Amino acid sequence: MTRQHNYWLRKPFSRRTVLRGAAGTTVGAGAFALVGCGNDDDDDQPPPAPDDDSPEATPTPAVSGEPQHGGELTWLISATPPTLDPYTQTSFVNAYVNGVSLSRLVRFAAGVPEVEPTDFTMEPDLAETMPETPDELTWRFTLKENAVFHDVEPTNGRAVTSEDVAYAINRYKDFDESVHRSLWAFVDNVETPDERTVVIHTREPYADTIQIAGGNLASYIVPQEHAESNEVATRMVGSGPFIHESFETDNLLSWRRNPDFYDDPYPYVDSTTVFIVPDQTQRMEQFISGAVDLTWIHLEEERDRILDARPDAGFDSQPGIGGYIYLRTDRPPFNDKRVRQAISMGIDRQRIRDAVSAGEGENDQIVFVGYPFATPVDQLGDASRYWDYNPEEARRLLDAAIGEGETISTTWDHADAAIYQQAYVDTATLSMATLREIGFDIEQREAPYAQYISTTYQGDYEGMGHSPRAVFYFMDYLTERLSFADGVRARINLSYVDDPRLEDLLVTQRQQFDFEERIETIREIEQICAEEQYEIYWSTQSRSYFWNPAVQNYRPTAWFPYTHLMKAWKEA
Amino acid sequence: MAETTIQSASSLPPVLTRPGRLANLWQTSRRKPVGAIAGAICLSLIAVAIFADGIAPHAPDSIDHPRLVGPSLSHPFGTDNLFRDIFSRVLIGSQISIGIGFASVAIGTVAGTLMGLVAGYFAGKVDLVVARVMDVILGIPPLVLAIFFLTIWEPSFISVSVAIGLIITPTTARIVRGSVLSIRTLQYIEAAEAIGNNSTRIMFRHVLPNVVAPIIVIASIQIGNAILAEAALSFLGLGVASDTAPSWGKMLQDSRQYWETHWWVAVFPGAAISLAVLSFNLFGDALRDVLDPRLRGTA
Repeated sequence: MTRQHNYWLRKPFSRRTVLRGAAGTTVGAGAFALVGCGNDDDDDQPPPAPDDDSPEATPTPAVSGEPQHGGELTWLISATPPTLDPYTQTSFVNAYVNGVSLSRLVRFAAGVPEVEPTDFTMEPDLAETMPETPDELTWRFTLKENAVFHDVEPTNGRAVTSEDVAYAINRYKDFDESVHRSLWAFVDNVETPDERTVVIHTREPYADTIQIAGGNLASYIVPQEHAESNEVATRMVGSGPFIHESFETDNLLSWRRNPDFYDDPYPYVDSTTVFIVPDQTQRMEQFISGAVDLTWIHLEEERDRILDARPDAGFDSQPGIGGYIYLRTDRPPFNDKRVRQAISMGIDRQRIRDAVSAGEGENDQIVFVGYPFATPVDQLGDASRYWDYNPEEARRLLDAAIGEGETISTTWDHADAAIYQQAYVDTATLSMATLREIGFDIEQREAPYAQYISTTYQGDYEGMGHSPRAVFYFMDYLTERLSFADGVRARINLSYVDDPRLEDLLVTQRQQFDFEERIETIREIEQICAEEQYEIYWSTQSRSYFWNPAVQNYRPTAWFPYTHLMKAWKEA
Repeated sequence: MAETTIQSASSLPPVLTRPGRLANLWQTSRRKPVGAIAGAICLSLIAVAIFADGIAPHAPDSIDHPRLVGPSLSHPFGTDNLFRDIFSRVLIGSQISIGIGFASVAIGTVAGTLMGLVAGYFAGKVDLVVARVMDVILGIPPLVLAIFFLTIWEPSFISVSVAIGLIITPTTARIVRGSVLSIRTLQYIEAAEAIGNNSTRIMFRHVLPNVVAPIIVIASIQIGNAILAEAALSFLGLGVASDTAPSWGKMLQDSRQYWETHWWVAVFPGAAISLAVLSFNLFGDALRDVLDPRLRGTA
């Protein structure tokens, strides 16, 4: 990533500078990504530094020729979305497909050659321009005049109004079954002075308002008449670039071009189909054989095989966040930080990297170390020693915490490999093997993804668990992981962290529009998390994306929504 | 006065004596060499399963080995992608694979025998109901039935054994029923009824002993099928294997992405499954030939 394209490397911004920057779609801002798969989470980041041992990484986001209309784009996802209803789902697979049919106020600019995949700059989507901000508590959006819903039942091509946007935000914020209430909790109310104007009033100055309005999850506008119907789980009706046509569980979803889409000339292709292929090897083979146009998130060994087999393919690779261990810090024995520190020191991260990522990657911490502003683990002061594999010291910490020679019996819940790939399970297996050596008796409990995401990932577990890490396209994401304000556990605070020091810092950072000031606060949070080991992080991994060379004006993004497919065309 | 004559033993005509058990076994082995070898392998596999913890050179979850190295003296079956010794894991894996194989066959055999006994002995409506229930179970693809069962009951040693036992039951029941139907018309059964024995006593004291041979044969053959079913379920993620207690099917599943590039991660667990299934099937075939009077003496 060049300095020019790196939002976080540039000089400090004022809030208005940030907004102006976001408003310009050509701004090469960017940078902070952690795609996590499961927000469930999965991740990607800035491109890695060249490495002699790496294969020739020659990202090929070129554009040739004039845009062409027609044809079909085919791509792959690893699982059937549990439901297509964006209001009640937190799964990353939902985010992939929701973004094809459904609009947001703003959307990621990434997904085209000139924008870095990890750039999380937003551009207007339903909104005509980026919002006006008369004060720090008010965000005024004007909707595009020609924005209409799909010409299908029940909307039949009616106009998108400010009431639709207000309905969506309120449903995310207040609906009993919404899993995104904490994400929109910063909103006080939404005003709709006329059919095209939406005014969001926040309870406090909130620096990430635009990112939330256009993010991976909880940003899609589904009209009331469809959102409250029985069909919302299996059919998408919105105002996005493609009209949803079919949903076959464990097989595919397909769309056709929306001829009434408000952003002419998009979309270029007539249709798009995503095939649901849980098996990673099969996904790889399908791309190699030319059966699909796009494939994504291949780890190092697969990357090398695809590079060998398809040297003609477009290719991009970025470092991405790996997974992390969460544990019940609200109850013994994990409420003792020495036990958590012992776990961190009882994990051989280098050995895990050797096994699952061809030795590539580095130790990670709560703020993904691939971000230029993040503190590298070895600069976390005394706490950085918790990332060193040191079974003797780990055992000594355990002796002090639970008694000499005592062991800890616990459970470790996680999803099976079908969705998150075998490396996800292998990472846990290797960690458990070394933890057993220092005195942990761990019962490994593997569940199908749908079961995992609706139970363990909602905090319903006994001892320990692990997950890929979530998309990190807004800095206040830390609140989602670490807050227990007013006795309410934040959405993915899976470790049940309840630390007053963190609560204060979380409030401070989300009200800071000045980037440098905010980073200072973030560093304090990093330091506390490093010492406390509320979550235990493994390592970064590289993520590789490939595409059919006939696909033009395309580049992968670190973000889940596949909205950017609308800007790609296929050469005949 | 009658004349008593004493003859020497050597002058008596030779008396036909039954050979001893060992001699009988030897003769059978010579007649059925394939079955004998299969039986020996079966016994070896059982012994390995029982003593695996002592035989295995390393703990199954030990990661103190190089990664993905091929077979060598220090690692006869090589190592996997997680630094583990495949030889040790194949040995330890026999405990789950063979253990569930035997447990499920025991469950299926007991259930099938009871069903077959009742259906065959009482005949009529009871037979009709039992036979139709068995037909329904047979009508469902066996693996689908087991998967359905395990989506309701969380996989454990017992639930997996019961699931596989369930798919074994109809075959055993049908064979036992057929045998009982032919036996219940014999005179000694009528005699037993005439002197006042109740049905339960007749079934278990007079009928069951006479259908034991086919039960043993079908059970021995079913062990191979049960091992295969356990491997399939483990491969599909519905087994009970863990890092510390692997099974052959799970080993195959875990190493799928390395099959093409590191053959040994697939070949040895796969060979263990094949060897066990083949051995139990061939042994079962040989047992059938020996125990079935109609086939006795055939090659």
